[in-house]
Amino acid sequence: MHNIWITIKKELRTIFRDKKTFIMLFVTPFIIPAMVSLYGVIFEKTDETETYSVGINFEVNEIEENILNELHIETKKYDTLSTLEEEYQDKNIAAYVTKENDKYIIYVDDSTTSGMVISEYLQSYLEQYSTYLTNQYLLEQEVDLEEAYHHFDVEKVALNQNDYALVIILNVIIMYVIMSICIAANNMSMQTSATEKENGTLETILTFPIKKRELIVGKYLATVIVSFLAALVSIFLLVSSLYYASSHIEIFKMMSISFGLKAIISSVLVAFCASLFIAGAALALTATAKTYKEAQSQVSLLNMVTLVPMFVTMTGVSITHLFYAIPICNFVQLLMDIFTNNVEILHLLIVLGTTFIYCIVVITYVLKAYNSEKILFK
Amino acid sequence: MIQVENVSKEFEKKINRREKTTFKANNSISFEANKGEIVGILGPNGAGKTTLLRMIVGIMTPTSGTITIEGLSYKNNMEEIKKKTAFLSGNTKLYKDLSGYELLKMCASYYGVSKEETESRIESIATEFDLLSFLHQKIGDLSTGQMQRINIARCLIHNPEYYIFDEATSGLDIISSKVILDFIKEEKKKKKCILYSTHYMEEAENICDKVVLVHKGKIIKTGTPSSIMKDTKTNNLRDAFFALIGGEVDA
Repeated sequence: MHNIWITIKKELRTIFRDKKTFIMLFVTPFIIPAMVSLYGVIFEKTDETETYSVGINFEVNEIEENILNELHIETKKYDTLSTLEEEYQDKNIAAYVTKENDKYIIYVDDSTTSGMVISEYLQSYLEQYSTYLTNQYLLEQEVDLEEAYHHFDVEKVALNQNDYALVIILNVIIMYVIMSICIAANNMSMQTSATEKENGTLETILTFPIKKRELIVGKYLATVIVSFLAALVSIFLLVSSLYYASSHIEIFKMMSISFGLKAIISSVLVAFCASLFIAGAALALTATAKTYKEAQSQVSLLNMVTLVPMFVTMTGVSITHLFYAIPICNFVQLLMDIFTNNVEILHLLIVLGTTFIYCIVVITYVLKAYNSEKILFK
Repeated sequence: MIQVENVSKEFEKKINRREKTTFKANNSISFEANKGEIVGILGPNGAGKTTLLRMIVGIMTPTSGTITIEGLSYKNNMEEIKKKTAFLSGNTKLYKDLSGYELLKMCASYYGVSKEETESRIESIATEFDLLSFLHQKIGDLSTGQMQRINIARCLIHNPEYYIFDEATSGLDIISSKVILDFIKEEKKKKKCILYSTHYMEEAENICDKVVLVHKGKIIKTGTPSSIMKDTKTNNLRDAFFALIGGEVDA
C-alpha cells in the first residue's frame, strides 16, 4: 500500500506540474457550456424567420398578400419572364413565380437550404390560397364547411416530453463529459506508461523494491484520480450550464431535465465508473507503447470510440438491458436517463457490475504487458 | 558477494512475419564480485553487457543459470536484494518536473527510509556532492553534469551495498565523468561492491580491480587488468581485447 501511495503521488505531481497538460485537462470540459450556448444560438436563429423576396408577374389580391405576409414572403412584381430571370441572376429575388391563365409555375433552386424553405413556403401559399378559393365556392353553394371538412377527431399524446432533436442535443453534450474523461485518462496514461519507458525512468523504478503489481495499481489509480477530477469539472459544468439554459435559452426550456440531488449524485457515480473504465482502457492501450508518439496513436482509438454513443442514438435503435453492458455507450445512456428522469436501478447495477469486471480484465492485461521484457525494454 | 553462475539470456527475434529465431544475448556467463571490489564488465556495444546487468538488478529474468547476491536469489527475496543494490544507467533520464530534493525523497520512500533519516542523508549527500546550490531546482532546468550528480545521489540515498553502473559515463564530459569515477573509488574504500560496465577500455583499466571481457554474449577473459595484459602480451586492455577476439571486428 505504501508503494502504491508513493507511485500515485509521483504520477500526480508529474502531471500537475506540466502546465500544458494541466491546462488541457481542465479546459476541455469548458467545451460543454460552449456547446450549450452554441445550441442556444443556433436554435434562437431558427426561430427568427427570415423574409424572402420573391418575384412575380401577376397582381396579388388582399387575401394572397395576407397569406404571403404570414409566410414572410415579400413579393416584387415584374412584367416579363426575362426580367424575372435577370433579377434572379442578380440575386435581387430568391425565387420567382409566374401565372398564366390558371397555371402557377414556381422557379426555385431546391439544392440550397433557403431554396428548399422558399419552395415549401410558396407551395404552402398556393395551397392555402387554393383552400380559400374552395371554401368560397362551397360557401357560395351554401355548404356547411364544418360538416364538409370534419369527419373525425385526431389527438396526439407525447410519450416522451423530449423530442428527437432534444435527445440528440443532450446526447452530444453528455458525450463531451465522456470525451473530457477520455482526454484526461489518455494524457495521464501516456505520461505514466510511454513517457516513463521512453525516458528510461521505468527501468530505474523497476530496480526499486516495488512489486510490478503495486506499480501498475499506483499508475492506474493516479489515472483514475485525474480522470475523475476532469469528470467532476465536466459534470459541474454540464449541470450548471443546463440549469441556466433551461430557464434562459428557448430550446432548452422545452427539455424536461432533472436537476435534483439524486440526479447529481447518480451522475457523479456514473462519471466515477466511466473514469474507472476509461483509465483502465487508456492504460491498457498505452501499455505496449514504447514511445509517447506510439502511445498517442494507440489512444486515438479510445477518442474515436467516445463518438459511438452519439451515432447509436442517431440511428434510433431501441435500448435494451444489454446496451447497459456496453462500455462508453452505457455511461452516456445512463447519464441521459439520469438527466431525463428515466433511470432504472437495474441499469445502474448493470453499469456498476460490468465496469468492475472490465476494470479487472484491463488491469490483468496491463500486468501481463508489464511482465513482458519485450514490452518494457527497447 | 554477487555470484553469477552459468547465466544465459535468450530473446526471440522475428526474421519475417512467419519465422522467428532465437538470439542469445548472454551465453553461460559466470563470475563473482566481492565487497571492496570494482568489477568491470567490458565489451563493445551489443556484447550483452546491459542485458547482463539488467538481470543482476532483477528487472530481467535469466533464461537459465542463477544470480545470487549475498546468497539470496530474486525469486524468493526480490525486495531484500533490491534494498541492497543501486542501479545507474547512462541512458536514464530523471523526472524533469521534480526537484532534486523531491526525487531523493521519493526514492528514499520507495526504499522505506524513515523521514528523519531521509532528511539527514539528503543533507550529507548534498554537501558531499555539492548539490546544495541546485537541489531545489527542477531537474529539467539542470545541466547534464548536475543531473548526473543528482542521479548518483539517488543511488546513495538508501546506502546500498552493491552498485551496478551501466555505461554511467557514456556521453558525459570529462568533468561529469570524473565525478562518477571519483565516487566509485570512494565507495570502494567503504568496502562496497561495484559492477561497472563500459566500452571505454582505458577507463576500466584505471579503476577496475577485476575485468570481465564480454564479446557476443560470451566471456572471453576474466582477471585483473594486469594479468589480462600479461596473458595477451599487450600493453592495454584495448589491444588485449583485440588479441582475444583474434582480429574479429564485427560486434
